[in-house]
Amino acid sequence: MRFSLLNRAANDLDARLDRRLLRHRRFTRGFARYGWVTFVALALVITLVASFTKVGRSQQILYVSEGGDVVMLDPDSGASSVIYEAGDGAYATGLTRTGGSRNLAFTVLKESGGTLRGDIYTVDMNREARARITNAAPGEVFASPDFSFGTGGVSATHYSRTAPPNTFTVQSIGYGGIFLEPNLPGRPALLGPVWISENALFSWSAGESGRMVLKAYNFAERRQATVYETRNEVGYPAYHRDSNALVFAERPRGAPLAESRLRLLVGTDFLPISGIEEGTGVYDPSPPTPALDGEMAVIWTDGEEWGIGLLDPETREFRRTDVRVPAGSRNPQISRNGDYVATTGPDGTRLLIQELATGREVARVEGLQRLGTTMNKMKEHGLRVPPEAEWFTQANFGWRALRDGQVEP
Amino acid sequence: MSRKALRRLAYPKPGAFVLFFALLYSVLFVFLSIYKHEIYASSRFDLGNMDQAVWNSARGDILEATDETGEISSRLKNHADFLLLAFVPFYWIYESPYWLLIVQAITVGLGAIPLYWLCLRFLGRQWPAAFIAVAYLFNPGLQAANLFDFHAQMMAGTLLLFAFHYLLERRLKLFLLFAVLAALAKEEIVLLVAMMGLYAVWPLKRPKWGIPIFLAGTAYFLFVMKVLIPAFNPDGDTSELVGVRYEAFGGSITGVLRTALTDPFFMLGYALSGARLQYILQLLGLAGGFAVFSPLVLAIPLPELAINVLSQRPQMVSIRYHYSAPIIPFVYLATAAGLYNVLRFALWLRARNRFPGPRMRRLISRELLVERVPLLVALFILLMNVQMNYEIGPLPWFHSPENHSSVIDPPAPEHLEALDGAVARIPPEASVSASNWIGPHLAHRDYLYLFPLIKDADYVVVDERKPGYDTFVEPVVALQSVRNLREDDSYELIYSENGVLVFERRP
Repeated sequence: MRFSLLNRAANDLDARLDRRLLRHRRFTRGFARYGWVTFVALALVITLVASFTKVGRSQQILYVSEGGDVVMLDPDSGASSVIYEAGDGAYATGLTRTGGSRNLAFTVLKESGGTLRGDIYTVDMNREARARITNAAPGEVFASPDFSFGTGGVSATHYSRTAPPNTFTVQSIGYGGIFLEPNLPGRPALLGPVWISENALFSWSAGESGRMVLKAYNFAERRQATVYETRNEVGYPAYHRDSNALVFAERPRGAPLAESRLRLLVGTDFLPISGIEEGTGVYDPSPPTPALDGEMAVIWTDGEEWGIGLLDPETREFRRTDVRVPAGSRNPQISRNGDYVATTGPDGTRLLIQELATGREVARVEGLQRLGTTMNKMKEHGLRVPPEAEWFTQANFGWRALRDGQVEP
Repeated sequence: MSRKALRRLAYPKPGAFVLFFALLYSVLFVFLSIYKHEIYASSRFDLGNMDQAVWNSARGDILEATDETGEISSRLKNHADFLLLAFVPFYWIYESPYWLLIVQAITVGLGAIPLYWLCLRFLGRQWPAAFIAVAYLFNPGLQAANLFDFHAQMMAGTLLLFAFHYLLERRLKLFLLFAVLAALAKEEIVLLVAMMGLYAVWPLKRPKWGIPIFLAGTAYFLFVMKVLIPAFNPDGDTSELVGVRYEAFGGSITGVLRTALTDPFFMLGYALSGARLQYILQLLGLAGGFAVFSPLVLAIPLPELAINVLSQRPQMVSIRYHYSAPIIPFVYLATAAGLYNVLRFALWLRARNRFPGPRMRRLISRELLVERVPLLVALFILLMNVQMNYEIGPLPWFHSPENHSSVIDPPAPEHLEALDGAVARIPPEASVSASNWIGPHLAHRDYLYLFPLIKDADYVVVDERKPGYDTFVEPVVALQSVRNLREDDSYELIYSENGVLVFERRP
């Protein structure tokens, strides 16, 4: 029955269409000959519109609150939700900046019976699944986790009572933990690791002579190469894979941020950066921003004004943006779509989100976990924390871009 | 534009449609291949290697090149790609790897023409045949392989298609011409010619042609693998590549054949394990999947498929490398043949009133099966390939995996200038160790080492931006090597620009 109805409907439609077309013979003739051109043009228009239409993803910022919760905030709508809730003496710290939009990692500190331990947890934001990927012994902390490019590995700085800090890598599924240096007392502290490839990292080594040594490590093949040595204070490095460029800030020990100079190292060669005016302090390079073709956000200051600059590690050009930030701001990070930039205050408790194009303030969040909270806790519990470790303290926030339907309003 | 010309444009002939895309492909890929080379995105292995082999051949050192260990050796140690010698006259006119890149792109592009003839023969419908032939040119794997340097194997697909066409046309001389040319592309290609011999025996029922073709093909393969290649290896061993790639089967051809007889289920399980099954599905899926309904045509590239899926080399089970180039065109041809077989079966069902009910029989009319279904299916295959090309293809602004060798990502202009400046510093006769991406620009010399292998090189040219071999290079080794060079008294840094370094050996 349904078949015949459908047939009849189709026939009726055919007949009506034929009648109409017969009334406009010229159009019909043209359409028959060149109609396909219309369809191709239409397909092109649809393809172009679809290409330029933004996929339904909004930007979220994740941060660690004063109480140790991991909170996700949509700066446009102001909606927020808790990803990890502190409790039972356990709280989050050291939120990773890397891992794309899907992967998140952070340290969970647990205080019990006068001992401190810090495990690394990972959250799959798509599946909303949480897992512990390292299991620290009492008196051990795995701090500042960081994902490798393919997110197959996680690095962290390992603190303990017996040995100086060491760089630790583990597969993100929790297998195959490796220390870059033997975990023995008496060796230099390894700090501020950054991934180069799936089995290699740069890491700073702080010796007793007061020198900082930058080394590249292949942990799978147990190979290392010394790249640079300095007596200055250095900051967390950022690595741009396409140009093999490592970027970090350097200043005399104890000097103000305005004396920071940005260094760009390609292999064994320091290359000059253009566009930085004489006497301008530049520091805190962010990880490369995919939406801006790998550009890194940095903070510049001439001592009076403070603002956001962008460094293209490929062309080695620096340019100031129109974004101005409060004096002493730290840790710039650009949202995944390249629209916003977030910075913290000097102590890390205030988060300021601004439009990158105009500098307009979009949101301001107070009550983030204070920078150095983890360091202080570790010192309180007798873990070995050299003074240089504080140079590599990272802010407790990172950007994500989740599908619209994935985030509750 | 005249009315006639406009009408011709509106109603293109299927053959002209295919020719247009074949030429478009050829022109585009000639340009992209050369551009990729000029921006230092081609690699020492393999463009530099092939270029050096042809350059040496043009000077009388047949197929010789510097190998991975830094020794001058014949390519015949591992491969029998005599087709490279066809480029020697071109090198006598002008020594440049452009010849290789140009001829490769044009040959691959022209493959759509014999493919169209063959699809037309099997399917009997012009436009569907044309759509399938053009879909082949949009295959993202084929394009990626084409943009990954030069490999004579890339040209085998087109030559084999011509050979198969002339076999079906019963034009023996032309078949032999193209079959021989194809067989000279690489040692195993002759096995596909041998399979055509079997095809001539059955279903073509021409045993007088088929049996000699099969026997000659098999004999040539055995001669190359058992006599020729061992003659260029120490102690008469087989190619070391066989040992490495087929370790699971004893590392020899005999071992592979023995396992096929004694433990076929292990072999089958191995061939379908991990990425291999995905590879097979990608090969078939990109052509719409109809190829499985034409097992006889699909049997022709079976030896090449077996060689790939039994290998341990990951690149051999990826559609993005030249290893798949001789298979892909036959999958598209099998698609046309498979589609025809499906339709013939449907017509057979229809003729015998096997459809459930008269309405269904009315609905699935003969016209629908003969005219519309092939057109729609072929159009679907074409559009799917265009879409997949956009999703995973290597063309600029498309979405190929970033770390694949086919990706065209130009460096900053000042870096390019620095690279040009470094290459200009190297005298023509000097031995050189160079980063993988600089190597192809310095291949016309006796010794060209791949950095960080330095040996006794007169010059070392390193791009610290991309210091090592391919994307898997160990960055720490590169750093160690550059530091060692900087501290080595026997070398002097004579050029340092934008992270591009040239070291010269002190006298």
